[in-house]
Amino acid sequence: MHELETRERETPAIEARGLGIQYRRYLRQVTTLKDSVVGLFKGSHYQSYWALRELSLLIRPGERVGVIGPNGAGKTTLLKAVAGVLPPSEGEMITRGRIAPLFGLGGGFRNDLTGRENIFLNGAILGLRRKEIEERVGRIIDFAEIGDFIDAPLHTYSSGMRARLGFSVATDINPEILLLDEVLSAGDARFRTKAIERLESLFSAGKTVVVVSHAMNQVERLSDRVVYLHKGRIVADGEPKEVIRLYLADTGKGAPAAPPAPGGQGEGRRSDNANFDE
Amino acid sequence: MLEPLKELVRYRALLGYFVILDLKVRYRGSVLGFLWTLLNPLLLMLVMWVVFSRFARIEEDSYALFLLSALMAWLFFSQSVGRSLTSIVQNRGLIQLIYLPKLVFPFSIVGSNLLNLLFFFVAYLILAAFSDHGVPWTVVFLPAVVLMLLILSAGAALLMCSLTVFFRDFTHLTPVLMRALFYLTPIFYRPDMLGPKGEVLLRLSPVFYPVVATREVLYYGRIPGAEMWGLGYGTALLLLAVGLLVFTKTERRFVYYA
Repeated sequence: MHELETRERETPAIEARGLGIQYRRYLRQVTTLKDSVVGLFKGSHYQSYWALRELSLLIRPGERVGVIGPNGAGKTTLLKAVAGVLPPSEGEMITRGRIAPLFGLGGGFRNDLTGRENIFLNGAILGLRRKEIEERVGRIIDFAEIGDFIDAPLHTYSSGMRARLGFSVATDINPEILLLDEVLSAGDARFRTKAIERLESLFSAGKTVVVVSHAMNQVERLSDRVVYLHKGRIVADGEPKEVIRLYLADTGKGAPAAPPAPGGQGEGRRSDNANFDE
Repeated sequence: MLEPLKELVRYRALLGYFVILDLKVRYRGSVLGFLWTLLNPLLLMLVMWVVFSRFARIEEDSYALFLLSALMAWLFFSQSVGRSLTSIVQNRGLIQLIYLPKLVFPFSIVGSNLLNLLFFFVAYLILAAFSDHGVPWTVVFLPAVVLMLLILSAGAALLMCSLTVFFRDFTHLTPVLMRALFYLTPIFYRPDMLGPKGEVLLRLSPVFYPVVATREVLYYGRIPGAEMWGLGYGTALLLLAVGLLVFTKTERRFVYYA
């Protein structure tokens, strides 16, 4: 219990309070004025559904949290909510420190610009000032192993080169929070080793990490805490081995069992906000 | 409401790159490239000069300069709004992938148009200097007029690009509105030509003041009156406030609708 108290006194790096993210699934293609006028009489032309609902989660600085759950559980939505891409439909999401989203690497890249220009653009997209990018550009080119191609337009790059460049920019911004959706597939085996080394050095430098994955062995190796999501709610949250075991047991049965009776609150306890409609 | 502007200052490097990219993309692949910035208004002015000097028969010292001075201000406004319109929708891929201050999209387009406008002015001043009409000293008031035009155009751009996210109809509606506004603005004619009642009507158009003021300082060599500054800046600031309000109230939902 003592550990829990110190945990709560520390300012969390990531703080979700009653977080809800609602998507709209459109039944027709686009919204027009006509649609919205017709909608007044015929009812709406879309269905809303909650990708995340009443989710509360505190992550301390330096914690490495794995997020697991079946497809459609809201794992990627949670990651995007932490990244600030998806603003909460209800509740709050507060983060402290610079975030490096390692999903959709190089998503801001433009094919008509050179590798070097793309480093500047991508750095600016990640919120760096021009000076900060200038300090890093040499190191980024070296790490990505682009060589002479750096001043060639990006459409001449192989997909491996693009991924390497994206990874190198995203991990060189001195982030406090790292977000990973599935562990890296950037580049060949040799680069992957190097990338994992860099990630591990960031991990050991006390960065906060949130990693979403279906590969349980990776989750267990990378995380010191695992959150199990199902239908947008937290089913369990705690010690990796325990939570993974619970998840695997549930997938065997098809759906998670009802939360256990209160009182049994060890590590790997089921979260008390896991109440399902179905 | 001012929080997004503060954030934009932090992301100023990004705003700068988007301005440069917008200029690059606009003239990419054309043989004359950047020269089109100057050539475009000159050719447009040539066409209008040929047409209106035949049919409109407006008595002016130099109809070409009369026309061009107002046309430059108008084109800045209409292109800022017209090209910002889809700026959020077109960048949906980026918006759905990574967090960005959304203001950079319309503002980078307004910014690249502002650079274009400065080139326009250079072209105009060269033309005027070589013509019999000359460049009046009141050109020193141009920055104050441009600021009015900039505030107005930014406000309109913010308003229209947010509305377009939710109602794609505006991509079709806006060009028609712009065409109507073009004829309702004294660009190829003088405001007094529609009589006193007509002039009152013309003043309802928000672009009236910056367009007329640009012509006053660049062509007529007159300092705009207090009424023109007051109403011009008043309208511009009001539109910017409305635009910023609508944008900041709706930007949280852009990612879900764009």
